[in-house]
Amino acid sequence: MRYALLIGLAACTRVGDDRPLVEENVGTASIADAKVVVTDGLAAVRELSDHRIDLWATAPTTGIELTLGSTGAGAWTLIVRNSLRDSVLTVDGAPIARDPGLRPTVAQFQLTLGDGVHLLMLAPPDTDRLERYRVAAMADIQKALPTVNEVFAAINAVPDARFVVGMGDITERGEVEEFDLFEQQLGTLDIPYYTTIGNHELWAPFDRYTDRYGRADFQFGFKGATFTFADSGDAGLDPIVEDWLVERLAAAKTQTSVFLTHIPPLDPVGPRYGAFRSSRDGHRLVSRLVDNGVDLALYGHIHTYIEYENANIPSYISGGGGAQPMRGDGIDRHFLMVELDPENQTIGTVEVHRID
Amino acid sequence: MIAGHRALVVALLLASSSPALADEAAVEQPASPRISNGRRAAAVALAVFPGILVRGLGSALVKEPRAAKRLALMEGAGIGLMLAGGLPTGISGGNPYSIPLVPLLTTGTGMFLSSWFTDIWVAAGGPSTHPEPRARAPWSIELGSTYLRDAYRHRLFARGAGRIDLGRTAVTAMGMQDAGGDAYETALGAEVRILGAPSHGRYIIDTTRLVVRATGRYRGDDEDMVSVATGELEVAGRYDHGRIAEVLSGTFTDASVGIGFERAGYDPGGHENSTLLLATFAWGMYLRDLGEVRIFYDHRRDSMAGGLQAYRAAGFIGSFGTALDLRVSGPWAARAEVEYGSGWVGTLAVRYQGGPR
Repeated sequence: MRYALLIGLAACTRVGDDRPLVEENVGTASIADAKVVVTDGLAAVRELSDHRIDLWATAPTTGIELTLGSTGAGAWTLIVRNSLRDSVLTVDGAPIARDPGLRPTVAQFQLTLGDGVHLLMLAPPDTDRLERYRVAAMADIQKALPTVNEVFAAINAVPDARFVVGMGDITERGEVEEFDLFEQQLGTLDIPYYTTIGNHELWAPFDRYTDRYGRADFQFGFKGATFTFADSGDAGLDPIVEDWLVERLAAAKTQTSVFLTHIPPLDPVGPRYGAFRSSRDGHRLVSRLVDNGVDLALYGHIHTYIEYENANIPSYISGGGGAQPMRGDGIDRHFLMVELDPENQTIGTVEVHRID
Repeated sequence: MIAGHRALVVALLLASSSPALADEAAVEQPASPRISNGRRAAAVALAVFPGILVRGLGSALVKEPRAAKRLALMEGAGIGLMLAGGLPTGISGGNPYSIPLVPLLTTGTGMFLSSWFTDIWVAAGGPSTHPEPRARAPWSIELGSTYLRDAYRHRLFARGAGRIDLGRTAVTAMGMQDAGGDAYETALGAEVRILGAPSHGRYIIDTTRLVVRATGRYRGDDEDMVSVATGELEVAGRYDHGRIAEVLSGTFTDASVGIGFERAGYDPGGHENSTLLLATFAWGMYLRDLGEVRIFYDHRRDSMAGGLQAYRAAGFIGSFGTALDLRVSGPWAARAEVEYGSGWVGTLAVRYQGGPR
């Protein structure tokens, strides 16, 4: 009993409940004679059924190891949702034609596969080419899901936006209907939307999110820049996530490194405390971002736009997805356009695009 | 901060019946009406609920109508301050210009909760405990330990603290060192007494006090790779509920508001400056002449306890705790404190109190 109490007390101070453990299973699935493993868990396996695989990608490149037994061999349909419009699929090194007539972010392929292990890679041709490119960044849609298509239309109007990175709070309460509406609205967006969660997604069971949209803690590289997303929905980072984060950020130290999470570790308006629930934990995270050469930090949670620095790291709070806006700041709905400059291992311009 | 000062003044002037004067003589307690056990049990139950909504039910049932009325007024004033402080922040979505009103919210919450706890205390027969509070001792030194357990840290600190009062001015100092050598904290403060009894250690009737204090802190943490220097300026006060109604003597409300300036230096390089909002409230009662016990809220997030994991509102609420200050024997006293926010913090200390007894 005494030990149970001690464990209970310790658990109460844990930040992420069991979420880091739950998301370890994201990206793997198996049925009789077929097994799918997505590299680094960078896709949610929405369906693995009789000769059909349906994935939701959380990165511009999706690597898949598909193991088939004798009864699994034959014709397969592969669908990768939330993918780049110019992405190309190779199976064991051979390119496969994409099914025509679908939305730009839905990549569907008809495959003929024998038994054994197959390596599938979906990626745009310029994945490894180091050159400047731009991505959109946004957060905090919440109750504005019915009108977020207006934000997406404005993003579509930016011709060189490769994809959207999200800093969480896509829903108000994490209801199934909200996720359905989010996905319906994503149908109006011509580029993929890669996001972590916010505190509002945590009103619902975590696996409701991961089953649809994959991991909340993940990292991908694209054209020499690395994007690292972390779950701070409880106003802190779980120690498991911190360990993972430090390891991954260190590995990306020689690249242009972007860190994204929902709740800022420290509120630039200090007395507001719209940040981690312990500023000691906030300082601890910032020291790790500095130590691992992060070039840009993007946050949400506060429904306004703020440009500032975390210990010399350029940092932005952009909570303009449509959730109840901060009054009197003159910002309202907006998104950011972030220019990456991987050749010079730096960040280019960061523009604010207002909707209203 | 002007708004915060106004809140404190409102708190201090609330129900401004003639205050009892500080007196070095032993306290004479008012006669309490005879209440049956059944009636008292019902009073406690009603004071808890629906007393959390309607203040004074417990006091009224134990035949303390004046206390009941005054506690209801205190609740009303607290709700008013909560709305005045909370609505602008909520409606504006946290616009920075609304933040100076937050101390109204914390002070109002303190009054709201204090009136509730006090009503329960009256219903439970608290006035019959004959509290005999004392003024602070002229000087004291304290040795103890603090235990911290949170998501990242599991630490035991050795701590020492001291205080000396020189007329209206007091000087305080505190130092802590982690047994593992990973972290340390120091603080040096000065305090000026605006209102209240001098620190002579003797019995007093009215424990109301108001001080202005300035504190400098410095802490370092090797694992966190950060060191932080903080400068703080606060107005802090205690309101003796005996000013509300004589029967409430023995309970009190504490509140403080202030601002801090913080400079964090990161070991890997870089630094940043920030500001802190300091706000606390507490309800407490005196334990005859043995000391006092308090339950408190601390709004700051840079303390060891940090902020509460308040479900999905995490990040917006500070820490809660309880503290017991007990005079053990002669000049010796003990202090025990537990605080819960993003972590658990526990402190045990022994204090030697100088001056008359």
